[in-house]
Amino acid sequence: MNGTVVAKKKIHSSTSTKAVPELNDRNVLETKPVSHTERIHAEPTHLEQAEEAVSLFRTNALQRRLAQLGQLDLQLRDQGLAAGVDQKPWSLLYKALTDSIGADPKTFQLIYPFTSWNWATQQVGFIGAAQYNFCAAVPQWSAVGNYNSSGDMFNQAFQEFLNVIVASTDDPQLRVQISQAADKLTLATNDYTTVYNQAVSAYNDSVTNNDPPFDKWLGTPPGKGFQTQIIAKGITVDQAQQNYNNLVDQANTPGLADAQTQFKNKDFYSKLTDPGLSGFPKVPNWSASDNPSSWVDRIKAGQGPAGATMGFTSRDASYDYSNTWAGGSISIKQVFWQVNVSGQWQSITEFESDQELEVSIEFEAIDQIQIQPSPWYNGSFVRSKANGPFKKGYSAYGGDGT
Amino acid sequence: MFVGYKPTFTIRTSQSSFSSFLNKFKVTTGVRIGPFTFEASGGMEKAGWTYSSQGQTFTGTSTSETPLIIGVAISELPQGGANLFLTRSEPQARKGVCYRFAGREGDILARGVSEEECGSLGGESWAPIGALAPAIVTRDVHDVRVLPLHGDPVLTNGIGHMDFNGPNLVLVRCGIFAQNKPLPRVGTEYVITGEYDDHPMPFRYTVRCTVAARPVSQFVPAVSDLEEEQP
Repeated sequence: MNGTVVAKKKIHSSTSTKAVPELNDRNVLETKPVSHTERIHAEPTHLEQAEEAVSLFRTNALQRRLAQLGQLDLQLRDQGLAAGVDQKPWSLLYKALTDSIGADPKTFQLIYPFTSWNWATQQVGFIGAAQYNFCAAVPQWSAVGNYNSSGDMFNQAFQEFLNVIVASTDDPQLRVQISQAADKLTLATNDYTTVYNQAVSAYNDSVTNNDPPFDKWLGTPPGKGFQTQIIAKGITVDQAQQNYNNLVDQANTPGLADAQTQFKNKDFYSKLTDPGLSGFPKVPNWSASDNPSSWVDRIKAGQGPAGATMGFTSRDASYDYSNTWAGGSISIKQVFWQVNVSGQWQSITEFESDQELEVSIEFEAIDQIQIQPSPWYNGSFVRSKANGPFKKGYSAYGGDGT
Repeated sequence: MFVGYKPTFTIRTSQSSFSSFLNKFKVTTGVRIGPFTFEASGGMEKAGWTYSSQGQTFTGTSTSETPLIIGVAISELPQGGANLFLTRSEPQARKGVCYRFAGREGDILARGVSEEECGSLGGESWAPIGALAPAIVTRDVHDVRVLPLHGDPVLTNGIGHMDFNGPNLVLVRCGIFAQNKPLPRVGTEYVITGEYDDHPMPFRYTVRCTVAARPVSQFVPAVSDLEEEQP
C-alpha cells in the first residue's frame, strides 16, 4: 500500500472502542503492490485459483459498504440543499455532544435509535445477547450511525480476514490442499451466511429499534426455526474451518496459525444467557469495564462521574461532518423530534420548522465505558497483516479485508 | 462507548409553536430528542415536567433509571487483548468539568475543557469526564538514529518525542527529515536508538514507520505487546 494511504490510517483507541473493521481508504479499491517486507516471502504462493469459491459474507459486506458510501457522498453533495428537514438537528446535536463531553469527532459516533445500557451482570463465561450484539455489530461508516443488532458481526469479519491471509509454504502439495480446504470452507460459510441473512431479513421485517436484539430474537418463537438452521450450518463451518486450520498449521506464515488457534480457543468464548438460547453455541466474548447497576449506584451515592450540558438553536448552521472520522454521515432515518401521546410516538412538526427553537440537554452523569474483545482477537496480527499479503482476488481496501 | 444518565431537556420555542405543542405536552408520557428518550412515567405532571407560558419553555427530566448509550468511540483496527491501551492517535488533553473552587466546589465555570484551559479560566479544581483514559507520558529524546534492517541510516543526530503508556512505547515522532535527505518508508521496520533528554539513558526500539513526512515522521513499535529490550 502506498504511503499516503497508510499515513491516513487512523487507529484511535482512546479509552472505549468499538470496532470498524473496514480499513479506511475508500478510494482505493484495487490491489496495489505492497511495500511490505513479508510480501517477498509470500509472493510465490499464489496459485491459479480461477474457480475459487467467492465468499458471500465479504461480497455482501462490500456491497453494504459501497451503498453506505454512495449515500454518504450524495448527502455531502446535497448538504444545505436537499438535505431533509430532519437532518440538521442531528448534526447540531452531534456538534453539541462532542463539544460538551470531550468526545473527539475523529473517533466519536453518535448512535441511534435509543439504546439502553441495561446489560445484566453475568457470571464469568456468560454474556447477555444485548451486550454481545451491541459489542460485536460493526458500526455504520457514518458520524451518526444506525445501530443494527443484526448487522455484520465483527468476529466473523475477523475470521474472514484470517482466512484470506496467504498461508505461505514451499510444499506444492500442501498449497493445493490448503487451496481446496479454503474452497470447502468458503462454500460452507456461504451456506451459513445464506441462512443467517434469511434470519436477518425476517428479523428486520418484524422488529424495530433492536427490541429485542437479534441474538435474543433467535431464542424467541419467531426466531427459533432460524436458530436451529444457524446452529446446524455453524457446525459444518466449524468442521471446515478446523480442517483448514490444520493445514495452515503446517504452513509457515508467521503468526497466522497462532491467530487461528487463538480465535478458536473456547476459553475466550461465552455462553449466551438468554432463555431460548441454551442450545446456541458459545460466542466470542466481549467485556465491559463497568456494569450499569453499580455505575448507577455510584452516581446515586454521589461518587459518579461528572455530568454535562449541551445545547443548540435552530439558527445555528449545520455542522460539517467532513472533519469527522467517517468524513460524513449517512441520511438518518429517524425523526428528530418526537412525542409520545397515548402510547404512540409522533413527530413534533412544530419544532421542525420553528426558527426560534433553543434546546438544552443536561445529563446528570456522563461516562466513557470501555468495551473490548477478549483475547480471541489478535490486534497485533491484524495490524501486521492489514496490508496483506492476501489471497488472490482480495485486497485490503475493498471492504473485503476485515 | 459513551453512556449517560438522567437526561433533562429544556426547550424554548416561538409563541406559535408553544401554544400548538402545549396540548400534546400536557398528555405526553415521553419525548424524544434525536436518539435520547425522556420518559415521563405516569404522565408529565407525575414526572414533574413543567412548562412556562411566559418563557415559552418546556422542561423535564427522564424518569428512567436505566443509563442510555449515547455513542461509541470508533477504532478502525481495535487493539484488543493485552495491548488494549496502546493508542496510535496523538495524545489528547482530557476534557472535564471546571469548578470555581477547589474540591469540585462552587460554580461550574465550563464543561468539556482540559485541565489547562480550566486553569486559564480561573477555576481552582477540575474533574475529568470518564475515568479510564490512558495516561500518555511524552519524553523528549536526542541523538536519534533511525536505521533500516539493511542499508544506511535514514536519520542521524535527530531529535524526537516518544509517547509511553506505562512502560509501553506507543508512538515515536522524530526528525528532522530535511529536504533532499532520505525519508523512511511506511510499513518498513527500523531500529531507533538515541538518548532521553531528562536522563542520560540510551534506548533502542524496533519500530515500524506509519507516517513518512518532512520534517517529522512517525513510528510505532513493531512488536507492540512485547517488552522491548532496554540496555
